[in-house]
Amino acid sequence: MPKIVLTDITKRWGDFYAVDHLDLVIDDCSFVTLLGPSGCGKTTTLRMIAGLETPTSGRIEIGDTVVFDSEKGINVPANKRHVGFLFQNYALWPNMTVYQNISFGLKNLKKYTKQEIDEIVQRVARVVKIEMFLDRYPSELSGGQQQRVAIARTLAPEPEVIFMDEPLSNLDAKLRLEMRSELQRLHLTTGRTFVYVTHDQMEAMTLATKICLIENGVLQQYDPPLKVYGKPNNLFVADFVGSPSINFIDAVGTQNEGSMDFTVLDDKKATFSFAEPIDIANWREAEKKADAERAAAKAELAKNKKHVEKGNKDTVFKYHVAMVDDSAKQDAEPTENDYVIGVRPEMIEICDDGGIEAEIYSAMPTGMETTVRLRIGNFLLTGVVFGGVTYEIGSKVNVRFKGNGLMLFSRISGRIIGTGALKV
Amino acid sequence: MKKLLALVLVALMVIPFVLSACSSTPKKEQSEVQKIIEQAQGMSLEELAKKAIEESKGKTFYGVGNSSRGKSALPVFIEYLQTIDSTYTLEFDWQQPKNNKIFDQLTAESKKTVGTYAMTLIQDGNQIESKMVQTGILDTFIPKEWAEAKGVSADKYEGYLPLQTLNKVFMFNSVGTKTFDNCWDFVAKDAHGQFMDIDSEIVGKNFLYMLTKDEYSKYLKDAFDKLTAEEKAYFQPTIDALAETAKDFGLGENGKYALAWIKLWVGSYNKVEDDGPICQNLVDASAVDQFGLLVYSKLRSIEESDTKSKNNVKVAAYEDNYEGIGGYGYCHYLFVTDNSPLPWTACAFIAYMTCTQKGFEAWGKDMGGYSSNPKVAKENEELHNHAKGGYVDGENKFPVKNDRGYDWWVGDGKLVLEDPAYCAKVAFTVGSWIETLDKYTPAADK
Amino acid sequence: MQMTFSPQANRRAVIWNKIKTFFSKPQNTILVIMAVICTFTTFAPIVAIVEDTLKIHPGTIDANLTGRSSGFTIVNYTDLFTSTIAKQNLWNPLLNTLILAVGSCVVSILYGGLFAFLVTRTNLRFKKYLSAIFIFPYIMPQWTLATVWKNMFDSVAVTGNRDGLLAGLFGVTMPQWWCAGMFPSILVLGLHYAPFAYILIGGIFRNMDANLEEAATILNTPKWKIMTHVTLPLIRPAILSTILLVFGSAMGSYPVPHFLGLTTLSTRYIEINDRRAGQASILAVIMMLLGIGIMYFNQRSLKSRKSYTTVTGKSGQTSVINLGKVGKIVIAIILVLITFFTSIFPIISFAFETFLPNPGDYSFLKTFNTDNLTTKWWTTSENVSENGMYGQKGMLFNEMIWRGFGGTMLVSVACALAAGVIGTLIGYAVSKKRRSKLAGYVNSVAFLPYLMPSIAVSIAFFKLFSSGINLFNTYWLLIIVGTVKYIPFASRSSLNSMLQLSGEIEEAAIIQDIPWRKRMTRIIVPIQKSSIVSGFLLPFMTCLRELSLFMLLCGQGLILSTQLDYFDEMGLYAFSSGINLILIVTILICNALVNKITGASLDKGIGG
Repeated sequence: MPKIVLTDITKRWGDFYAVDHLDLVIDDCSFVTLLGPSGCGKTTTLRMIAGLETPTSGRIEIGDTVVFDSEKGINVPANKRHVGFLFQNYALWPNMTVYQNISFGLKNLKKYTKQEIDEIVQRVARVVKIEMFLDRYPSELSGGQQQRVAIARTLAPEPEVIFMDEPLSNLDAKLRLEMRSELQRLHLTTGRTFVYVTHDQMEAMTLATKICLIENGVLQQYDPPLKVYGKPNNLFVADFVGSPSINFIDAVGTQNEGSMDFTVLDDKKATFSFAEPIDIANWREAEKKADAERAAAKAELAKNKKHVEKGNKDTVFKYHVAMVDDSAKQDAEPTENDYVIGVRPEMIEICDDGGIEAEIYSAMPTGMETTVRLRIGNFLLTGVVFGGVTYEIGSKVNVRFKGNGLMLFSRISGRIIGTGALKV
Repeated sequence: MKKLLALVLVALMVIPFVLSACSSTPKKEQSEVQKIIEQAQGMSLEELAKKAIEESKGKTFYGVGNSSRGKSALPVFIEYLQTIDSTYTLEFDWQQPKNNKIFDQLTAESKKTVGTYAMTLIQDGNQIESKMVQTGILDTFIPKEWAEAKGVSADKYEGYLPLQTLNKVFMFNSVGTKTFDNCWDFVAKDAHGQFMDIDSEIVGKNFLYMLTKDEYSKYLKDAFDKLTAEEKAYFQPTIDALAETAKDFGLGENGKYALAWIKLWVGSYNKVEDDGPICQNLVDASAVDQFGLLVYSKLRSIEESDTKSKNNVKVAAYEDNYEGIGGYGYCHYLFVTDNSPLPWTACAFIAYMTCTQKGFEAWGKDMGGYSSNPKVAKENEELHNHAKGGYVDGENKFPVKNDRGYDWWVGDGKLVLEDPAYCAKVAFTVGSWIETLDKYTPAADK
Repeated sequence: MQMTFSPQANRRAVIWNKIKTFFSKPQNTILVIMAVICTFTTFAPIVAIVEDTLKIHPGTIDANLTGRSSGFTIVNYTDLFTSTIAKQNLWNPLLNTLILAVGSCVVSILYGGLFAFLVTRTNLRFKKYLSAIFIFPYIMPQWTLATVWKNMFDSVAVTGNRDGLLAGLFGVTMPQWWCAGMFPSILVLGLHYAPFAYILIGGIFRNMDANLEEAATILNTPKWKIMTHVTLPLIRPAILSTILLVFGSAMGSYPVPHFLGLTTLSTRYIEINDRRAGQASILAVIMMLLGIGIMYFNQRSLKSRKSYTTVTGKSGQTSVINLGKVGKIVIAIILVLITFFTSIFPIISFAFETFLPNPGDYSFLKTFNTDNLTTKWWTTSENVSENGMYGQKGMLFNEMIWRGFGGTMLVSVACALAAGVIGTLIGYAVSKKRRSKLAGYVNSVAFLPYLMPSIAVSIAFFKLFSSGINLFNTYWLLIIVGTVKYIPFASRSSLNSMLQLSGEIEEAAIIQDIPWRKRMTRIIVPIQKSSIVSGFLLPFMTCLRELSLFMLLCGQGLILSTQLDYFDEMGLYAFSSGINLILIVTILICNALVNKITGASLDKGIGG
């Protein structure tokens, strides 16, 4: 059964790197989402695996077959890769009825009799609940129905792998939710490998067995959703995943016997204790070494005549610290003593014995939960309180950071150092 | 793309020089076709016909010409051959290329060892001389009977074999009061004759070349002398100004009159795309005082109506008191191609057209075209009586259509006749000078 | 995979693999084949002409100046550019050509664009009628309007040959600049090509998302600002395409300036060809360079718009501008009148002409005496040489005309099929590989013949096919040349439609391993049926009435348009008018048939 392996895949147009030296292993029967902001290269990656786009360099294997290898000049065309592809705009053939759309590819396989084809069409139509539309033309269907037809057409030839390119983005919110769960069921019932492109982190979180987060053509993190959420590799990942977004707090300080002494939120003293002990000096040493290695590898590459400098440069993610008044913000060059602490909204607890005084800046109850913005000095933090709690805007409360899952990032590189608890 | 284009362009520039190595030069020794022509010139039409039957039975005959009537003449010729051998058949195709393309086509054809066309019927002596004869592409064949009728011997005869002479004559609209009694009237102040542009019909240019030949410039001089002093005064400065030029070109004493007439004509004629429209224009009742130089036979196509009538025009030369040139005569010549696939048949066909009335019938039934063979011309006139072409039911209804015949035209009619050798000679003296003249454009006049 | 290859064998295998991969995509195969074919069909004629500029032609000025009768020389260049008559042989015609081409572009864009706007975006009356009638001038041979113009405005007093209709019937004379020369040439060509503008610009207006303008309206932008800032930029590509097409065609037009007495490069080409054959070829080269230049300019202007995405929105509705109760009728009536003169009147006058005793003899209109009409042009059933029949049978019985009709149909259908198929394939392949250099090359090279003046192309092919393989005066030659010349029609219309087609439509089929042939025949062609059919229809119609391209390549009898010219020259105007009529009726019937069967029609045209 197929396992998809991408080795050092690069795709560029001129000096624009859509995908930059990507290594990826997609396990059989997994449901992998390629996640990232628009234009990050996730769709390109998907299309390259499917054979619709030719990588500039690298190697792709599907199962035991090398379908692409730039060095050997191998490039198995898309039609010989035996995969399914669900397009963002469905790409239904407008000149054919739903039935014809589904059966067209099957007829071509020549291994089925007319009756068998009919059975398959009926079966997949049942799976996606479109049996009653078989005689209609795509233009006579609603978006959701078209979507189902597209799925049915993709499923009909029973491909081993199914690729989906933002299949739900054209649907309305309610339908999207419904389809999402149907896709999940589909993954289970068909037992195929799903590779799914989306820019919606919710979709990625809820569907995937593994999330592959890409930014500017570079792989940021490839882990199960909860790990991506709980221990993001860097500021970008932390920020991209999670809704409402994570809070970032600038922290200045040094390590003091295992834990860190920080000054946060203007003038508050705080201690960050790691969940697993980390020596900052060692960590920094290791990071430097890794950086040097990467730089060396890059220099090696640059020697190649054919190498093209990446036009779309990689930069450290500019995280956003929410403030009441943004104008006073100054961007000093970060030093080794500058850190960023990431606090998920649910890690902020409003309780009477909290050590920080805050003012309710805004409160948005949904019934199930309430999202509150808390003002601490000039800073704003977002927190979530479960249950139907109401707050009066402007009232004073006490808060604290709960749990052991707060993240500590280096401000220079944006990388995570470790997780732990923060005491103010 | 840009680089590629540059490359291609460079290549384009270079290729010709490479090709130049392969281009052939005309051969000096007698060609196969010329040898056959030499024999053929000693044979009678009937002997030639037998040779033709032998050569071309069941084959296809390709001819090319400026006149479309070759196509009507060929079946008559085949019928003639069938009277000798009733089993004889010949497929044929007659092509009439447009504009000046016949020369390009014959040139292109000449590169083959065996060409497509057996023979050609072609006009414009000037270009024939320089492009076809001097380059050895076309060969002249003189039929024995034709030479006899002309009273010359075939191998001594110099020049080409004309099938017929066509005439372009001065005609004017006679609805108004203005008369044209001297050929200088056509270039007088504010006179604008209708004429096919010399650049679109090249024989028109040959007409101008021929005017500079001594005998024709004499016509002009004589006509000039008949003008009134007042009229003379208008032309005199132009004539004087061109005396030097005439000398430079090595023209005779009257050359300056020719050059002056040419200059004034080029500077005044109103170009019309074809002789047909000129004729249509002139016969219109509205075309008061208009005149033109056009093919005489165009008159035959005019249908009488309330606004158009053949009686609305007069042929200048037919007027009693008319002085000077009456028009221009040019020839349709017949040639055998030097790589003719069917030289004997070509010779026989040419002989048939030039030596029998039947062969000439395709052209002879119309006025304004005169067979070069006096015998054929006579027979033709007897048959069609073009001299009384204007008679309807014995009544002289359209006097302009009474064709006075070749002899009258070259004599009293003072027709300027095309002489290919002379045209070719002055093509780059007088010819180049004509190119520099300012043509008349009505817009500039207003 | 085995890794035990020797490095060389390995490299060979890699190259082999790469080639295999490359050609496994049909668009690549098509592009390579088309690149080879188009390179030959485009550059071979150019080579032939450029060679001709350097050759010595016996009996012409170059032979005279060099004193040689064969070989090569550059004297043609020096003489053409520097001699005392350079002005009249080169510079003036060049200037006239440029003014004519630019003027025709302006007229056609203004008239066609305005018409497109009125028809697509306002509540004008009689839209259907107007839209159908508007394209007539393009259907008719281009000189027909020129002859109509002359028949209308000529007068003894001004142009000095005879009185036209206006002068004859009403005694009205128009000034010289109106009757002949630049002004009428520009107007006639502009009117002739205005349908291009209408088709191209109208296509965008029709598909344009009204929201774009509505958004501006809501922001309270003044109407003229919407026009200049929103609407015009949107139709800019269409305007540029129109310029490309009209400029290329107007520049090379021979009959119109010839009839209206304007000296352009193409008329000069014919005029000086006898004495200055090599220099005439230089003029042809200059015309080609102008064509290449305008294409380069066009491509540069379009470069900023990398995406060709359709300007089509979700609303699918275009807002209709209200012309007012009176306006919608008054403007419609004005247009009906104008189109009457450009479209209906020529047809009537052709029909009328076939009953006149003499060409342009409108005695009947003055006297209403039926003796001044005749049916002999149609019904004479034997050879008569008197009465102006020139030995021709009447049109109904004239085998030559009906054989020519057959020939015209054969050539047109063959050209349409060949150009349509090739053009569609090129459009398809180019749209698939839009970014590749090869695609850009094929696209440009396939388009180039269109920008070369018909006369130049025809000369080039004449030179190419009259010496080696003699195809002169055969249908083969006409079909080959017609195909080469008309591929751009089909490739443009196919490219436009293919670009509108989302690539995923085909990818969805590729993924399912549906073979290319089936993808084309079952998916792509059916979806873009109407514009692909236009890609066939346009060459067909153009071919039917083509003269400049064919007149040097065959004798007079082969096809109708050369017969038309032949009869015109002979003075048998009744016959040439009759043939015109036959052509127009044929085109109208074909257009209607195709419209009925496929839903496509000419007025959808290159705009897709």
